[in-house]
Order: sequence, then structure tokens, then C-alpha cells
Amino acid sequence: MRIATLLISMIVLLGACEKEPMVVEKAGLKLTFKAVYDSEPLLLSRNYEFMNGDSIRFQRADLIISDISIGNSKNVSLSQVEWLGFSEKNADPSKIEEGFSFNFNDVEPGVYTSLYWNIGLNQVQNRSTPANYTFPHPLSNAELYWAGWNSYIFSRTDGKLLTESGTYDFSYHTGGDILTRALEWNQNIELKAGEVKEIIIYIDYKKIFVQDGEVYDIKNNLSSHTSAQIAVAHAIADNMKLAVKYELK
Amino acid sequence: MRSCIILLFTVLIAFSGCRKDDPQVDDPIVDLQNIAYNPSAHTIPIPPLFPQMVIPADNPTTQEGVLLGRFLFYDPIMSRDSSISCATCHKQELSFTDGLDKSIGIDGKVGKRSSMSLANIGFANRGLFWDGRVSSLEIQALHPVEDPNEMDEKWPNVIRKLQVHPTYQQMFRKAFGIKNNKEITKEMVAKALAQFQRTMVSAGSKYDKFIRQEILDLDNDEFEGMSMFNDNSGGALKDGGCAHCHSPVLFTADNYFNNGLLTDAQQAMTQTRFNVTGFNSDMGKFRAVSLRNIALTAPYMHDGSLASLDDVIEHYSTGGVPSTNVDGLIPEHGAVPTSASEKDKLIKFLNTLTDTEFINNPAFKNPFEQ
Repeated sequence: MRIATLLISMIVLLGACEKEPMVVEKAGLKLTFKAVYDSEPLLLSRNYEFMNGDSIRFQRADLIISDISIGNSKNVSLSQVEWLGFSEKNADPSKIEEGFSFNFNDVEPGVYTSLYWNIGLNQVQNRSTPANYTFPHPLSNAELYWAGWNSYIFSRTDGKLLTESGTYDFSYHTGGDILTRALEWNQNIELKAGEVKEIIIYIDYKKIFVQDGEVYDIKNNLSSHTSAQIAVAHAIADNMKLAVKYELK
Repeated sequence: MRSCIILLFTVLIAFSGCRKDDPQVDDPIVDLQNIAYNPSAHTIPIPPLFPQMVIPADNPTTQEGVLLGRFLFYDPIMSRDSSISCATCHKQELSFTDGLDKSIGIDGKVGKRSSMSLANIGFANRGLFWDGRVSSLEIQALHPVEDPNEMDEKWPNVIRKLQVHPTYQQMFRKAFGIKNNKEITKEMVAKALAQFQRTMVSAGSKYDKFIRQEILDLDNDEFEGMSMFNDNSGGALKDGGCAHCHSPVLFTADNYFNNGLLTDAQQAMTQTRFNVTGFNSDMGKFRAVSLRNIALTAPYMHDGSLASLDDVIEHYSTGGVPSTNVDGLIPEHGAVPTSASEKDKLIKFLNTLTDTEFINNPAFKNPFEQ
């Protein structure tokens, strides 16, 4: 009887050993997006030195980003949609260094050669409306949906240009499928099992208006809301793409 | 003799003190367990194109809870002298506003703010009151009772009045499953009021019927007004930029804006969003109210300073009062719409947001009058 019990116990134990899944340790990737002005953290409602003696102050600085992935021989999707609401986050002086961090802790270890993401949404995502989502999903926010365009507002960059001749209120909103901008950072990103690697992505709001010394004519292009202002929206979307800088920690 | 008078006086004070501040004393405990507690879920119908409503997990909507909330909403029992109820400042026929620049509370005291419409208030996710100082309907409902300009009552007194009220004993039992009357709490009152308010969905306006294609078209002026509102007239008309802060379909961005009402000096002396967050970028900001039923909710703004929709459009057309933090969207859109015809079209569109089904809905009426 004792022998039989021992035998059964051994069989059970062996069976258990066989069923134990192989544990493959994953790697972590942390993406942190920060809004800066000329390398300083961007603080809403603070006057920054602009160009030619003018100052600039931002009242809104928000973006919808999408289709975040890393790739080597194949793409690994990290997130479909995220919201970078710097208008709220960067209103608080104690939080402007934080930025928006997204942690992906279940990534296959390996060497990835590119980071991909969009400022804006892909066409399928942009066919949806806030009614398709539940708060706090970023796309549930009706404030980010512009019925007149049948599109989400991909980016909002609002503020004031303060000059000797007066104050100029600017309001640049981008949206509509053609204004989505795809970004790609080609860089070896080695993710090791059990370790977390961080990439910091800076969006420099000065560079949205100043590229290689060329200053965007804010005074004569104050807004991009209507179809008649589509050229302004394209310029802002293009410059925003160029205003992005990466740092691999 | 002098000692006796002092003692009697002391006892009287202590007694009245007990009655007022310690309502548990003397009132009998009423066992309510013989009343069935079997609440039925109340599904709030979400209209097409509307966002989903977030309902707190600890306060599911039930028929019994909504009914209790409705009774409490209309019952002046929560005010110090039983003269003021929620409905005093939130009248159904005015889309649950009161038609005053500043609401009048107990003893004729004038409040600090204009009453806000409750239409679709259940969809608000980013704070309530003009400055957004509370995060939910359940918390908001706790405030007016003890506000000296509103009901000026103490919660322990309210709870005692409800605990000794035979009808409310039963209703709280049915809604929340209390075992006896002493288990009634202010949090339950707030939950019931929140449940009732979440049912106040307004989606029966001409605009709604148009976007749901239940009617073929708005008339020409209304349609052009809508195009101006949404900045998509294709250049044919001036763009109003209204939808930035009053995004369809709720006609609010559920956010806070400095809309050029106050100078810097006035902002410093006024309770605005800044007083809640402490951020300079929130100076002079107030909640953008929903424009649904806007034709019924005059006067307008947090202080009721604009008497009519004409005044509101004039305010935005001229850009409002300059200040450091006035929203760039206001001056940018200042001077539009300029012509009387454009203003008229915009107002005609705003009138399409009036929902007569909502203001006549029997489910929201005073239950004491039915």
C-alpha cells in the first residue's frame, strides 16, 4: 500500500513538472514624451523668448499619437492610441519634467532597429467618433472631435505671440486623414530580458515655428481651422514632425 | 436661585444641542427588514452618437434609487426651514436652471453663481460646478445643503428628518437595503440624487432629429448657423468657432475656458478654475456649459451677466474683455459673426437645440404634484 501511494505521488509530481510552462522572461520599454521649449520644459502661460525680440506664450499644447511600434524583422505593436495632454500636465510647474510615460513590460527581448509612431490617427481610427469609446479612453473626449471635419483634432497648439506692435492670438489645430504624420526613428534599441529601457521623446514647441533659422509667419497665419487654412495646417503638422528629438537612456 | 437659572439654561442649551447636533438621540429605531429589498436595474438609454455614460461601480442606477432621488430633488426637507429644494434653482421648464442671474436661496439670500442646467449632466467627467471643484455628482450633491446661501442646513439634521420620515424610511430601504432607519446616511442621499440626475438625458431636439435623420433637414438659416458654429461653411460664411468649447453632440467640451468675461483684476477677486488647481493657466476659467436647451437658460455665464443670446453672441463677436489669460480662441474669433444676418442664423441654430420632450418629460416632474 505504501509503495502504491509513493508511486502515485511520484507520478503526480512528475506530471506537474511536465505541465510547468517554460518561463520566458520579457523585456520592458518605457516611452516618455516631453514638451519642451528650446530644451527647457514647457510651462503653460509662461512667456518665452521667441525671435526678433518677440515673446511667445502657449495656452494649449496637446497631441493624439497612434500606432506606436518597434520593429526589426517584424513590427511589435505597443499601443494603438495615446493622448499627450500637455495643456493640463504642463500647467503644473511641479509636473512639467514628468511628461507622459507609457510602460510596455511584455516585449520580446532582442535588438530593434526602429521606433514608429504617428502624430494623429490612422484612417480607420479617424472614422470613429467619441460615441465609440468610454471615458477615460482618449478618443472618448468630445473636445478632441471636430464635427466639421469628421475628424479628431490631432494636435492643438494655441497661444499668444507678444510683440511690440501688439498681441497675436494663434490657434493651430490639425486634423483630417491627410494631416496625420508618420514618424520613424532608426536606432538600435536593445531590449534585454528582465530590464527596462527608456526612450525620451522631446517635442520642442519652439521648433514648430523656427526651423533652421527660418521663422514661421505667425502674425499672418493665425489659425488653421477651416479648409481655407489647410496650407497652414500642413505647415504646422510638418514642422511638428521636425520638432521631435529622441534620447535613448 | 441664580444657580437654578443657570442650570436650567444649561439644560435647555444641552437639550436643544442634542436635538440639533446629535439627531440619533430619542428617535426610535425602526426595523425595516420586513420590507423587500430587491432593487431593479434602471438602464439609462444612451442616444445614438452620444458618448457612454460613466456610472460609478458603487452607485449603480436602480429604479428605486432614481425614484428616491427624484423625491429628494423636489423635497424642501433638506433646507433649514423647509423652503428650498434642489428644484428651486433647477426648474424642469427651464432645462433645470432658474432664470436668474444668481440663484436665490434660503431667507432670500442671493448666491454667487447662476444656476447650471442639469441636462445631460451625467455625461460630465471632468468636474462639476462652474470651477469644477468636485469630481462627481455624488460629491456635488453634498454641497448645497450646508451652503449658507442655499439650504443652510446641517447634514445631521437632514438625516434625522429623513430617518423619522415613514415614507423615506421605506424608500431608502428599497433603494439601498438598509436594515433600519438609523442606517440612512448623507452619502445615500447623494447617491440617490446622482442616480436621478443621470437619467436627465436630453436628446430630443430638432438638431438631434436632424442628425439622426428622423427629419430631412434644418431650414436654410438653421443649417447655415450650424455651419458657422462648426467652422465648416467652406468660406461662404464667417466661422464662429463655437464648437471649440461647445463640442457636439453634448455641446460642451467638458472643460474650462477663459472666455473674456473678466479683467485680470476681476479674475483675481473671483473664484475661478485657478482657485481649484492653483495653475496660472487656469486664471479666469469657468466650465463651458452645454448649449443644449440654451434658449431656455438665460441669463448666461457664471454670473448671469449676459441677459440674452444676442448679448452672448455680441460678447464673442467683440472679443470680450482683454486679459492676460483670455483664451486665444476668443479674440481670434472676435468680430465674427459680424452681420445681423449671421448672428440671426447662429441664434436660429441654437434654437434647434431646444428639447421640449425633455422639459416636459413626466419622469423628471415633481412627484409631489402627480
